[in-house]
Amino acid sequence: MQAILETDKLTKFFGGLEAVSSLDMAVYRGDIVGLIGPNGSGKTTVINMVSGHIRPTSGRVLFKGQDITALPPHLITRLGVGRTFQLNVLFNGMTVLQNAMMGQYVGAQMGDWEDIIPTRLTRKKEVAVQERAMGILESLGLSEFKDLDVRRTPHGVKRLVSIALALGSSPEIVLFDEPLGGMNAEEIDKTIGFLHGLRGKGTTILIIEHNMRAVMQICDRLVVLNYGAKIAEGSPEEIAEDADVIQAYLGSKHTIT
Amino acid sequence: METGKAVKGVAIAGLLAIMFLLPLLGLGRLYIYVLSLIFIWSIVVSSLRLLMLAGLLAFSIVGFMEIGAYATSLSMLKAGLPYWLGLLIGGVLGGIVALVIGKPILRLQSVYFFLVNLAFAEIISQVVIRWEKLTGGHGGIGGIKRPPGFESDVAMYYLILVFAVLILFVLYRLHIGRFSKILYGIRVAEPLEKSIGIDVAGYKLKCFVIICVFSALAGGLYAPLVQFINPASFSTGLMFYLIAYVVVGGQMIYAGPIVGTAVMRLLSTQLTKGIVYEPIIFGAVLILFSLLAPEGIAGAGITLSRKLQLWGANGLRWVSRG
Repeated sequence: MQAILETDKLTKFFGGLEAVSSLDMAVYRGDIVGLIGPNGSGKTTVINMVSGHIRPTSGRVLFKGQDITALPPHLITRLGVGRTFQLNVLFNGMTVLQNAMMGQYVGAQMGDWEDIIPTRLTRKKEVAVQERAMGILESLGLSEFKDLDVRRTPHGVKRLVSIALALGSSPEIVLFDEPLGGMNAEEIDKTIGFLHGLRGKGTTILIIEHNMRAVMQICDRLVVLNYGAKIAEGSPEEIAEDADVIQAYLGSKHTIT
Repeated sequence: METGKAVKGVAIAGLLAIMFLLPLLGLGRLYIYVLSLIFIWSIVVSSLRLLMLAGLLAFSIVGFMEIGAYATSLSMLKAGLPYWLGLLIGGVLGGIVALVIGKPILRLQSVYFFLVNLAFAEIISQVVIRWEKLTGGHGGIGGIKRPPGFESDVAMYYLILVFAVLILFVLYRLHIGRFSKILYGIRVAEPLEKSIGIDVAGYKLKCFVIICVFSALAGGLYAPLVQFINPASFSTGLMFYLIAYVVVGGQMIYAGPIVGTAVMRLLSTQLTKGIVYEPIIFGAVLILFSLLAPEGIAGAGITLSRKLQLWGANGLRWVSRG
């Protein structure tokens, strides 16, 4: 079976520091794969390279067999790779709904001429953009926040809005960078439920997350990084008992619960 | 919301009607001329504002105005082409130059972009100055003819008004729609915008080319109005005047820079009998606005109207309670 996303000896040097070292990783369609590791182990750098936001020093990224290593971020997104950001990077100053609508503009194929001279079709596209954005907000339970400036919403809502933005382009695979970071228990449960539902609709998920309980609960497979190198790969159960992983996270003589 | 829209529509229609009727109401020649200039500068500052939404200050548009003005004038004087064709050549040339230089310079961020723009405008001026045979150098070009049928100041006023209305309409459409949201998104969260599939570099370039073409056209309208151009007409000092217009008017809303341009030009026509005091007054006004109304006339107007509404609502509450 061909992997939907593959990295081939993916390497990134920041100056003399090898942030990611010769990473081979494969993600198969419909899976939820967790990318875990201690702080500074290179997880976000991997996502940044896959989504085209930084260029690898060497190695390749393949999406459905196609080499996307040298493509700019917006083209990678248009091929079907969505992503979220670790920090709350949002369109501050716009409402929650406007944020969600931004995510829809590319898919709606609205031409720039239509901004100047709208046609009947333009109005239809605008309505469709708004409806789809509302649909995504509803599925994330954000309808009640839709008219708030996104800056004024609680942290958990911001995290969800960033998911709404990533889903705007109807991606086949989404790279989540710590989607649960800073959420309370209730929000975490809701978000996990949402991610399950997303996978149920056929979306593949690669997720970076520090919340181990959540990772163990939702991931089919885990890839563990330490100092930029892959130290283990397997099912959550296998990883929980992997001696190298325990060593990397906690030092010796501990188990992950 | 709907009534607000209607009020706005009526206000704009009313303003347009007044603009079209002013010459018929016996407005003096001086003010016809000053208003024509205000229309031209309105095109330029509104263009400047569009790219400012993306956080980029493109001072080079003064250089593009120069390109437009010289291309139009030289097409008429040296090649004997009709004005309209000259104007078209100016616009197209502005667009081509913007396309060529836009790609490399738009990769720069904020301050660096600003400085390169400053340098580019200076390069255009230097080219004009050194290419004396063609451009007349420092001496400039005189005797620029107005297009047939538009020889009078009033006719030029109408010509420029029509162009300004068309261009400002296009800029307004870009302002209220998706285009300006995308530009704003570049300023607040460029990586996020790329990640949702938007071609950020492409939009910056499109925006830059659009505003440069409009500025070149503004230059092409300026030349026959004034009938004499030289490099000093498009100096670095002019750029700071433009910034003063934007600051005084406020960049928060679309009409801000236009209001600023109108107020400052009318003020300087009214107050300064000689050119000597103009910079002093400009400087003072600029400092006052930066201190007292950093969001400009338009921003202050909005704040005031909100406060009035609030007071109004509170007043009603008091009355109903009493």
